[in-house]
This record gives sequence, structure tokens and C-alpha cells, in this order.
Amino acid sequence: MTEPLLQVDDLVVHYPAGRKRVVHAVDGVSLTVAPGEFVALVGESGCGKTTTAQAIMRMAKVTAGTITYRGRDITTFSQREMRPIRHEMQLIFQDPYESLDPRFRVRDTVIEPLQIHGVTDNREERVRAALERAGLTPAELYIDRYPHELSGGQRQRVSIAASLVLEPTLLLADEPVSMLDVSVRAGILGLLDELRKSGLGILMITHDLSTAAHYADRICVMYLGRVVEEGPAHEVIRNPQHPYTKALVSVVPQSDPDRATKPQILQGETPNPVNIPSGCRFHPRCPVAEARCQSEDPQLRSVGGAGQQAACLLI
Amino acid sequence: MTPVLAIEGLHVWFELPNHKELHAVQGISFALEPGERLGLVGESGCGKTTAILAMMGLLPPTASAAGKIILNGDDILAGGDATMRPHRWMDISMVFQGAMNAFDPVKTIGSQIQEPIVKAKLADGKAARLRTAELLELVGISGSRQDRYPHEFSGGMRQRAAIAMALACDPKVLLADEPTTALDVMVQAQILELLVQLTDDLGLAMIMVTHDLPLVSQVCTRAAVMYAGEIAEIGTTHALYHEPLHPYTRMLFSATPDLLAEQTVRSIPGAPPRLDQPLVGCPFQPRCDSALTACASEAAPLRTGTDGHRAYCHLKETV
Repeated sequence: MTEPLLQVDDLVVHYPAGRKRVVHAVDGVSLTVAPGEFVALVGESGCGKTTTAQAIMRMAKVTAGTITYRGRDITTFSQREMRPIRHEMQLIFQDPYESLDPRFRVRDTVIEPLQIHGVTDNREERVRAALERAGLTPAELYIDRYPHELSGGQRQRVSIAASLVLEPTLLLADEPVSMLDVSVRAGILGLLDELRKSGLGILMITHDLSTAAHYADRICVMYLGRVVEEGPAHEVIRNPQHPYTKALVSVVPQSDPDRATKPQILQGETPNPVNIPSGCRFHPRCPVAEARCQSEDPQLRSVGGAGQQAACLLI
Repeated sequence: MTPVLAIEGLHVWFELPNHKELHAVQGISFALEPGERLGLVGESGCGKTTAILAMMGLLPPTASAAGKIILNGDDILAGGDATMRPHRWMDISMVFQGAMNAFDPVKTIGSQIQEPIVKAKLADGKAARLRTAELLELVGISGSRQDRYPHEFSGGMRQRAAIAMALACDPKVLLADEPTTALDVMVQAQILELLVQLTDDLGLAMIMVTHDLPLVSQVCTRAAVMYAGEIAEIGTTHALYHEPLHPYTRMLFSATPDLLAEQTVRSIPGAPPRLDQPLVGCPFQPRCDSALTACASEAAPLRTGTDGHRAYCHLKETV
């Protein structure tokens, strides 16, 4: 197997919440992204998926654990040491309406990363190449436009072009299509898929299991700061092992109204990450929990298909 | 059965600052049976929210509406606000998009749910409190929690409370605008289950506005697909998925990743037309993958299938 681009081991991100309380935003997450691999990090709001990405970018303070990028431990890198790493690791934001400066022409938006990182040669060519790689062809048609002259899908492509202009090796995409209309989502996701085929590693954060099922090679399911199940997308969706994944998969609405589904609706909502339940953190909502689930904290181990892991005492 | 609500040739125009008009809803017609769940789907700007706001008589002052909105046999649009007001919240009610975030943070949930009950003089004092408790129980919240404030409720519970408020005056028709957007998938499932159960138990008819086709497939028996202010296709959710008559419906389904289907997900090229200028031919023609020459210039004719299945499209064979 090729050396992973990104390897996260036992990542912990805790925030103080006042009165000596602690928000356990990320509580021991491990994951890897290889070159040319599309990994989806899925879970409900507050499960820690965005904080995980922020910690990888070193935009959130890491409490414990290590982040290794291309074999180098970047966990304790200073902001200065991070600069060349940020060159290679780019973030795509959720909202193309908020992330573009309305007074910037497309050229100015896409050229900005080059200015920040001090890339001076062939700027115009690099901008055009990035726009075309992001599907804005021919680049001349878009390069002098302002964001308000573009559709939502085109704006997101500009935002992606600005991420591509530094020729990164890893893209972190936080809900890259959730603000877009259904009719253009597939175009953006298809673009990410093509970039992956050209060798980029992609870590996509999403709450949408159907999107993850279609585009990702591997899916990591997070619950309350932990990865509870991880494996090839096909296995995780069609052969889920963890009771939480099983429930999540069962409640995803499907296009065919005749497809018989028995939604297994969990009661209540994800608990507050300040008070993490003892033992298995999912036990208070788990439909199959036993007494020992309240005291023993399960670790990820191989279950189900090849390369599939889940953290449950009862599998 | 007599429909509880019938919409006939509904048009809505917005006056724009440049003295132009935006024709947001361009003559839509459909009927809703008691207890029926109808989905209204389409992309942003297709007119789905404007259409249901017109049914509530809650369009902004820059808008004008024409056509018929027949509620229990009476055209409530005919007399403007005078004929709308007696029915609003009483017979036809609405859960707004983002309703769960619209509660006043300094008033208790109960006092806010009581407002329409007291305003409509249905009950006051102790009786109103009793009715509020009953409504909260109906949506799965303990009645004893009516004195809690919005911040003490989770997102899912506030959405339940918003539904309880819409049901306060015992309406016959509930309009739900993106009732689960911004909710997590598990909470979404809880709210959808609640809406299905309420319509089944109370004989309440519901129009659910959403851009999410799988949601409609799961909850509704029928759906209307809107495009550029018109209903492109309407029929049972079964027919829309298995035998669509309009290419837009088929293309929307194939643009939507489906959890277990081995499909190629394809985006729909282009964008919807501007509605501040007259449309010529079929409005979907520039984006359609099966357009004929006639589509660019001639208005699309009606095609019909079984069970009230209809679409406006030039194609004669299956799409």
C-alpha cells in the first residue's frame, strides 16, 4: 500500500466550557487518506467532524494525538512551519455565497493564494489552469467576472479553483455541496471525483450518507467525538455493523417510494459533548445495549467485510 | 371525495424595483384530498414557497395573486385579505422554513403556542393552558414542559413545538415549508414520522415543500414537480419515480444520489430561466436532454397518464 498522505492517530480536541467543564469535541479519532483516495467523514451535527478537519489544518488546537502529513509529524508545527504544508493541504468551504469576496473578480480570488504563498512565476497561467481544472472552461469566459455574475455552482467552482491553484495534494471539503441546488451538486461532486482520479487525496465532511455512498472509497462514521465505524463505502452502507450506523442507514430516505424500508428511529438526540456517557458513548440510545456497555469503552476492531472496523462490544 | 383544497390557475407576480414584473407562479392547478400528503418539489426559485405563501395570504405587499384558492368549496382568494383572514391558521396553517429558530427567546414555548388559540378566542386562561398541553403531547412533548423557554429545547423539540403551534386551531390543511432542513438525519426521521402520524390520525391534509425528492418519496403519496413557476409534472410518487412523463422529473431523480441504487449521478446542465421576462416554448427546453425542435417555440401540451398523472411536455413516448 502506498504511504498515506494524511494519517491521524488518536486525535483529541478538547475545549474549555467554563466552570471546569470540558467539551470533548474530538475524543480519539484515527483515520488515513491515501493519494487518490476519497474518504468521507459522516455524522450528525456536533459529532466532531468539522473540528477534526480544523485540527488537521491546525486551525483548532490539538489536545493530544498526532497528525502526520506525508510521513512528517505536523502536530506541533508552528504557524510558520505550517505555511508550506498549507500550500499542499487546501480547504474547500461549505458556502460559495459567503466564501467569495463580492468585490473580487474571479482572477483576484484565485490569484490570492499565490500572493499569500509568494508564488510569483506564471501567475496568470496558473490561474487559468486552475479555473479550467475546476471545470470553468474556457477560463477567459469567467476570469474577469464578479461573484454576482455567477451561479451557485460556478461560485463553488471558483472556490475550488482557488484551492487548486497551489496544486495541493490533499483537499479537505467541508459539506462542499450542501448549499447548492440538487441539479448542480452532481457536477461539483463529479469534479472532486476527477481530482481524486488525478491523484489528489480528498477528505469530505458530510452529513449526507447517500452522497458519501456514491462518491467515497471509504466512509468513517463519527458519533460524539469518535469514529464508531469505518470501512469501504460499499460495506459500511450495505453491511453496516455498528448499531448506530445501522440506524443511520435505515433512516435515509430513498428515491423509490416502493422500496420497503423499516426505519429504525433512535429516540432523543445526540448528547452534549460536555457530558460523555460512560462506557460505550452510544449506549443510552442504543437499541441493543447490554449492562456491560455502560462500563466498557469499545475500541475499533475488524468486523464485517475486508477492511471494515467498528467499535461495539456486541459484534 | 371532495377536495379540501383546490388550486385553480394560480398566478403570482412580484413587482421589481425596475418596474418590471417577476412572474413567480405561472398558473398552477391541483387539488388536495382530506388526509392526503402532497409534495411540492423543485429547485430554488421555482415558485414552490411563493405558491404556499399565496395559499396562506401571506405574500409581501409587492406581490399580487390571481386565480382561485378553493378551500372547502369557497374561493378564499376572491376577496383578498378579507376572505383570507378568517381561514388563516383556522382552516389552513403553515410551518415556516426555519420555524424552530423563530420562537421568541424571552417567552415560554407554551405562551407562544397559546397565542393563536387566545387570538382566535378558542380558549383562554386555564383552558388555553390545557389545550397547549394537549398540543404538545400530540407532537410528542410532555405537556408539563410548556413553561420552558426555547433555549431549553433541542432543535428537534423546537420543530415539534412549531408544528404544535401550526395545529393550535385545528386546521384541515397544513403547509410545511422544508420542515426538516437543518435537522440531522435521525431527527429528520423523527419529524417525518410525526408528520405522517398526524396526517393519518387527524385526517389533516399536508403540502410539503422541499427540494429533496427522496423525502417526498418517503412521506407523500403524490407530488408536483415545479419548474420556472409551473407544475411540470404531477402524479403519484410511484409514477413519478417509475414512469415519469417529464424529462425534468427523470433528470432530477438522476441528479439525486440514492443510498442503495447503482446509478450514475448526473447534474442537470444550465440554470432555470429568468422569470422577469416572458417564457417562450417549454421553459425546460434549454436544459432538456430530449428536446425536440418544437420545444423551443411552442408551449408544451398536456400529457396524461393514469391516476391523475399529468405533465406538460412535447414528447409522446416515455421519457
